[in-house]
Amino acid sequence: MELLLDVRVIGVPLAAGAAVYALWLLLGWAARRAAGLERLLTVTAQAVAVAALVWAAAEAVSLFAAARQGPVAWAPTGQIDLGPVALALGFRADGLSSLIVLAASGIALLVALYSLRAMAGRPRLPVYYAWLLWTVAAVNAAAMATTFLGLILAWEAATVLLYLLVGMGRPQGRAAAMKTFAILGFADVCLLLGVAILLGSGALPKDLALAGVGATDSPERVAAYLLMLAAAMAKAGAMPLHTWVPAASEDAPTPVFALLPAALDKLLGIYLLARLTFGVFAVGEALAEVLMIIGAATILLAVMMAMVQHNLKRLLAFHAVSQVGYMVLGMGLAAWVLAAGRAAGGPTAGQQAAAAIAFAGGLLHMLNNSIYKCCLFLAAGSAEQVAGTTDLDRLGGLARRLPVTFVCCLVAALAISGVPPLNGFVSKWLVYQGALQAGSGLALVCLVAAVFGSALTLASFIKVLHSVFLGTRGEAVPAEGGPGESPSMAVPMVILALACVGLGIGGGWAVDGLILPAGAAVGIQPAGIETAGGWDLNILGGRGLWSPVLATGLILAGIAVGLVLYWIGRVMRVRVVPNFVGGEDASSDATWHVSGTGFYETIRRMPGLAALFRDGGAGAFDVYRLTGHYGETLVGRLSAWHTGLLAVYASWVLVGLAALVVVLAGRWAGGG
Amino acid sequence: MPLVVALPLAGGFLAPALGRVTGSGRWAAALPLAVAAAVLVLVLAMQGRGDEAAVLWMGGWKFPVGISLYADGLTRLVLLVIAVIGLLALVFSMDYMRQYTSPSLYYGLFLLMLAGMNGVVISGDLFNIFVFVEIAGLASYALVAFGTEADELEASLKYLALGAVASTFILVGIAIVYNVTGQLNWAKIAQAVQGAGGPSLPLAVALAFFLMGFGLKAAMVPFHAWLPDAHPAAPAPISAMLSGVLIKACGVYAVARIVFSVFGATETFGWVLAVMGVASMALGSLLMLVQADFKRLLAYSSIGQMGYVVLALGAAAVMQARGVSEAVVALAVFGGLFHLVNHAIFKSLLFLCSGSVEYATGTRQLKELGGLGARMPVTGACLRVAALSISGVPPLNGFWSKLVIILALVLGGFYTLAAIAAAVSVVTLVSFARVQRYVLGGAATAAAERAREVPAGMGLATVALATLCVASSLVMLPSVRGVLVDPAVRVVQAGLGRRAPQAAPVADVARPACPAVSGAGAPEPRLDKPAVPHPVPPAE
Repeated sequence: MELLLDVRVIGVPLAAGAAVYALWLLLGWAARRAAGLERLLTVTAQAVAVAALVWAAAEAVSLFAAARQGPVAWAPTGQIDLGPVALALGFRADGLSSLIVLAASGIALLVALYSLRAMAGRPRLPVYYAWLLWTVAAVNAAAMATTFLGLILAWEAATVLLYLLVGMGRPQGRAAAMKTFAILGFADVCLLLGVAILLGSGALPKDLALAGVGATDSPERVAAYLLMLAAAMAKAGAMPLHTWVPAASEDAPTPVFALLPAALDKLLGIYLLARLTFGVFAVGEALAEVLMIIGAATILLAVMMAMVQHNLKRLLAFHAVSQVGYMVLGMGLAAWVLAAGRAAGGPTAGQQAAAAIAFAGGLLHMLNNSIYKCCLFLAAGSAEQVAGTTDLDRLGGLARRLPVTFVCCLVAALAISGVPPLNGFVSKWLVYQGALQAGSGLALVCLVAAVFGSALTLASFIKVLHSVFLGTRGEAVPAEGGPGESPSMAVPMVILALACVGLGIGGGWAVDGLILPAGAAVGIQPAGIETAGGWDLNILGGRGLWSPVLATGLILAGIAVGLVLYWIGRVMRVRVVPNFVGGEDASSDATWHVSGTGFYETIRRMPGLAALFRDGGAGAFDVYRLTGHYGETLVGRLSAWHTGLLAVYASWVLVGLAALVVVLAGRWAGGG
Repeated sequence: MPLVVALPLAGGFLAPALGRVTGSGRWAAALPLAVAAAVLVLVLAMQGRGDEAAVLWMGGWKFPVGISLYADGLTRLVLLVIAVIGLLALVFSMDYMRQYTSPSLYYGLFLLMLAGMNGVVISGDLFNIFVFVEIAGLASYALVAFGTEADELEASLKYLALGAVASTFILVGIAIVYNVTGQLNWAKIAQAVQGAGGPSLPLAVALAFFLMGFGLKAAMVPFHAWLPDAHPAAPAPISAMLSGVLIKACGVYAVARIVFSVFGATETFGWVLAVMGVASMALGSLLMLVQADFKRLLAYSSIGQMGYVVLALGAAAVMQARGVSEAVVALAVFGGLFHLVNHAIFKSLLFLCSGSVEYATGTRQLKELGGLGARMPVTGACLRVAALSISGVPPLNGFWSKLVIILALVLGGFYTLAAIAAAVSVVTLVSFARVQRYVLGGAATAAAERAREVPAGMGLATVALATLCVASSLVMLPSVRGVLVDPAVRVVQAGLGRRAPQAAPVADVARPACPAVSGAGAPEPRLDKPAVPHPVPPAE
């Protein structure tokens, strides 16, 4: 316990959450009767939460700075010896852990700020803030744990908190909350079982230290890796364990979704993937190919599902799944190259460079994604605040009402689509370069899928921008009055959007300062990437140069030229006429609102794809639903045996007795 | 020591008499509460004695008439569980039983059941174990039928019929054992069996009979079928006692005691237990998924969770026979016993919560419930804690015992069994996510509309158990474990290695307070030899 408090990035949110929760337990019953007391409790909880998160973020920054000089470790204390196994907790911040802690703490702070307004008016708000704080503590603890026990505990705590937070949403969301808990609970047990198998096979020390166990050369290690991989994939939301993400998206409170599935769960999942694939195991080629295929399939299939969604949050959720594919693909490519190198007697310098590039792409994409995806969800939350719905058919024309939100959403949408000079472009570019350098057929196929997926992402976001912000006013958008832009909701979005720009233009700096130290923590050599001058990102001596200053200058120049042309055009012919349809003015009438949901109906109806979309929409590829279906058949069979008839039950007893007698007497007589 | 049986036994008869005299139900709970509290104090006073085993020959009668009581680490652990759960169930009953008539009868039966269970645990000979199993059983048959509705009577009848079959076979088993060894004291039977170089064919048959009889009481597949009818039919506090304690005291404890301490463990026998455990886990938790009735779901989950305990003990027996290191065997046994304790806590809490929900809404159909998390915050929070506990979510107690069981299985080389245990844990989690979804989440249904928080007594009992769900995680700490569970683990483990009965009482002889106590330690294999005198030591 002292250890947890001693590690400030964990201890501060943990203690603050406990304080808020204790206050609620003590005074919550009275607050149900007195509105004034409830408001006081809520304000206290908000103040404590924001203060604690500011503190934690400051600690995270200093921890990150300290970790650049070398890992910061807290000695494990209070080990519980159970004989053949010892339960121990220990924490350590190396490059990778401190990056995760930094990102998680920062995003949590922004979401807490956003929640001040977005969550206002909901019941049991102090509980929300307590859970939020504990979530940060759990994520930080998971990222810094040096033993598998600590990892499992924090990992499951994050699962439960997500489940509880999702359950705070709309009443009809309870099925989705259950699905989330079921899939993630399954994944957690997989992680536990994987660790247990490693322990049983003698690959782990008694205290379950998160140390290297070497190549995946025995069936036990392959099984353990795959089980743990399932945990990482489910948390991050990669196929085929992704289905909880879209299910939970619709009814969960939007800040919750922006915090966990969109950002923190991605950080955790990819953290574990990186740690396992490069730090704990030395993954073989076949497993690395599995990773690449998962990544490419996730990119492509999820983005196709995203294109045809009618609900903004659900659409964003499918993108959240799709983007994970890039991270998994990057990691898979790096693992494949390294495995191929090891098989040939040690990776060459070129292979190390290719691995470093792909890894950096995957990890940077994790960071970038958590930023722009969080921003997109917050924008969706703002739209929902105004319109009361996220149904794309009923939104529209919000740009005038929410100009700041619109600009932030535009930046984030361009970033997720990989448009230069924003951050999404830099990380995707690195992944593409990694795929090119890997030099295998599968890598090229994956490259094509990734590029195609990126194009479809852009297409899908054009639909979002049109349906939500542009066009005429949607029917759910009130004409006048109602909430407008609120500063406490806008500021976090602006910060995130600026981060999108900053990490794009400063791509070289981001790779140099954030990603390469993290890679070094899991044994990725920083070869092949030069960041001369801090801005330019020079890959493999000029073959993959990304010069953001030059590019941004050119882009800005292009935009300026376009604006000039537009302005000249406006000067030349000024003719604005109201729209008349059938003799009626249709210029600002929701009746004539054209929603963007039909944009990609043709794709949905395309021969060959139509069946896929139909089955996908019906959940034919949903592992959860399939398991439920077959499970129900099996259980129905079992259930039918339990007729309730005494004679039947008595006969089971006698049969069981006969079996026992035969087995026991038979074996004993035979000396067994 | 005899008081833990005598007090509730006397109270069991006094309570209805008092009820007849005073005529009012208001104070009916006072006597049972006092008795249960006194038993808890006695049991607490017995704790913390390490590996010491106390033997007491009642009334100084000579063998085989004498009644011997025996308390070692395992006894003390199970007694503690019974006493705590029993007291809290009684506290819950105070308010809950206002819905029923004739409370004094109820309390009488309750105390009889308590006496029976304590008797089973503390008896030193087979025949008394049988007698007390019957006392507890008869009380529970009556309590299951306490509501006297049609389905409750039917459930009770099924329970009675199958229970009687089980009792008969237990009795026949005892007869066989007595015939072969001439002993009833199980410690001495153990010596006789070992002296003969292992069990013979008749003893193996007796073992099968015991396993079936006690297995039925423990609701192990395929002897489980009565439980899903009987446990939901009883009033909620009784369901809590049945599922939380009775199937352990009369079932698993008896199996662990008789089979391990008396017959020792062979690989075959270990596998039989492990297979029964796996079958119970699989069947119980799969069927739990589709139940519409809240209490029936809990009943199936009891079958599944007891499967964990039996699997852990069975696997420990196999490991012992295969020569796996002692430490791993001890870990498996510890996991099993720890899960037994934890299951007692969270399952009785779940049943009490189901009682609170039924009390407030009048229904226990899951689909008729909803939105109770907001309307009944205390019960809702307790139910949430219990559901997360049984799902194996850290830092609650269920996580730790499942973790220990899975680690022990893997360390013993049983990868498949560990995977099954993990899978069952997922199924449990899904089932209880479903419970939370229907009961706590969602919009309020018609039945939930008028739900109010339950009276203080019921709330107090559930909150206390929810606190225990968190607090019993502390058993993982060496200091707590060393006092409460480790002595019991060593008893079971020694039984596995067939070393127990000699070691413990010898230490007892050395105690100056009870100079002449010698139970199983004395060599006394046959009836015709002069019995060693057994003076009565000071009462515990």
